[in-house]
Amino acid sequence: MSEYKGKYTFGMDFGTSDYKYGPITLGDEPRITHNRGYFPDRNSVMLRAFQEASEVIVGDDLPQYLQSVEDLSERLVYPMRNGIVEKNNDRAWRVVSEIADYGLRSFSPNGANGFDGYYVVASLSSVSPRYMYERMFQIFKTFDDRQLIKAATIIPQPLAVAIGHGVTTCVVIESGHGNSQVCPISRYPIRDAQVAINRGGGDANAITAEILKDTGYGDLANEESFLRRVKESIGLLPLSLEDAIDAAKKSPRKFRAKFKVPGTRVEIDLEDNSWMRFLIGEYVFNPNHEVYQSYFTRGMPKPKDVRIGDTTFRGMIDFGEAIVASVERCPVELQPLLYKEILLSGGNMSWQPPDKLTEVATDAPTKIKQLLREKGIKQVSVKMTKAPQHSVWHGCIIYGYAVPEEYGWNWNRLEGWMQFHA
Amino acid sequence: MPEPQLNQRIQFYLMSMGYAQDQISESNGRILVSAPNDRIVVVPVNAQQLSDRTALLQIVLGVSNLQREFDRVYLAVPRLFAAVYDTKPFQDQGVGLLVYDSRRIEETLQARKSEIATVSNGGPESKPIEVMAELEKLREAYATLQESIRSLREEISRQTSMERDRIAERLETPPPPVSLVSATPQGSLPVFFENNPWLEVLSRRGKESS
Repeated sequence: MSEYKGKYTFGMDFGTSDYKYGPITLGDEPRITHNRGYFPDRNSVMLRAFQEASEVIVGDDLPQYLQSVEDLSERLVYPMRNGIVEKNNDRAWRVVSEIADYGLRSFSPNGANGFDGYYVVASLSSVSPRYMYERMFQIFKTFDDRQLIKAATIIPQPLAVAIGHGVTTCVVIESGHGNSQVCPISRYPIRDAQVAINRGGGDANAITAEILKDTGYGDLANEESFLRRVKESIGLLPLSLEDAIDAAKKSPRKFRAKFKVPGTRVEIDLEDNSWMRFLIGEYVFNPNHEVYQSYFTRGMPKPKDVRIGDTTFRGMIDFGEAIVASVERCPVELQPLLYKEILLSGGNMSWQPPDKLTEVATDAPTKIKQLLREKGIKQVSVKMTKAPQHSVWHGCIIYGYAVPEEYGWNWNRLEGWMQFHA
Repeated sequence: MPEPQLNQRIQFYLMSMGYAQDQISESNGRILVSAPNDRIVVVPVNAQQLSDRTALLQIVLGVSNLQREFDRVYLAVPRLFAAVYDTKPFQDQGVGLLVYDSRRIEETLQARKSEIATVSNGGPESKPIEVMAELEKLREAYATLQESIRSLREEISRQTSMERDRIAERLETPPPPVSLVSATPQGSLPVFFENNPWLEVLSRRGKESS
């Protein structure tokens, strides 16, 4: 394999919240920044008086430019929030371009070391339509004048997870903020067998907000980052929701959910309603329990089937059913092998039960096993990826290093190298 | 009579003349009255000073200076002095006399308001002097400012020269890479490459299809 690529392979993981990037020489951990861009008010007196503001600001300095809270939703753009960037969403594409450029600019070597452009491997959601690939290559092309990119390729995130984890036949479940994807891999991603789910960490935040409203903390239920902290602090994933609720109602003191926001006077105490903490984890994995109906009838949006690009994201399918549906689209001989390597990836899979509550609370791999057992699938092995945060970037780096330079881009297979300069 | 006692008696006398206690003070053995438009100084003179020519001469010369600072100048002298000396020279000079003995203090000659002090300290006619004093202060402030500006100019000139040198240095040497350390080849592959079966699988990409 090329010595040159051992020096100049560059990975870019465009996640729903974070952008992980950097060259192979970084070692085990990529650089991380938010996958977002801010469009400052260019008429702002302060900006006009003191600085030449860019049209869009990305990277670690972004918080310094934030203006009023009111216009954040309009000006702060997370282009990959749903994994897919709409074709005509120029602002989102502008952010993607700026973020990609930001990553490359952060590691611009001089020519003295023989640098002739990076081999860039970008990783996108597995449900990204073809136009996203085309648009990404167009963006890379615009960097050509600086000769930062020698060749580029794009791979789906589940494939990168499987590569990073070192498993060639498996099912990858990637669960991010906005959605989740189930993707079988057998040396190649089996694209036709993918199942996309319209639920992610954001939905766990939504049910957390409803619980706070029901327990008298409605005034705190508006801010997303706060909800996320409450969710991570008090939310639990039950092995069986009914058993967990029964146990919590019998011993409310044992299951009591309290959360004090550090540095503030804000404290949340669910007291006798602490059984509700199990609703948070269960909702992401399986929102079909009748207990959620009362929330839907009171106005909480029910996860719907939505079509984004060429993909239908299923709203109410539980994770077990989604895995079965995905695997059963693969050849029968392959199916047992796939069930034996189920890889979980993404921040929405980081559920950990407290030591005292392991009888009824559990982690994501055990929950997935339980859901599959309910469907009659027993010979399964479910694991978290070795480095959930970095596995996609690891996969990008290995892919870029290993795939031969001469393998040109193939639009049918969606793989190979798009050459930018010889 | 010991001086402190005499001074205290003069102060009581001045109070009895209608001056407020907080308007009366003592400085360098003299009694000062700071009434609006009427600044008075009383110079106590004892018998010993009267018999000492040098001391007497110093007092007389001092009175002349005091007339520039105060509206009215008094000498407080022993009653014996008033009986022996003619008061006309004092009258001509506008210097007032307070005569004291062991029992009382009396004003035997009223001090005339000093024209010089009047011009410098009170009334509308004193304005030019006041203006002159202010002008003097302004001159001093202006000189200080000029000095500050001069030192600032020197500092800016020094900084500009240093910045010019830095730019010249930068132009002469090629810029270092933004992240030279992390983007420089380090020889070995990262740990996550170890025993990864994908290296073999991916290295055959493109060859299988052909």
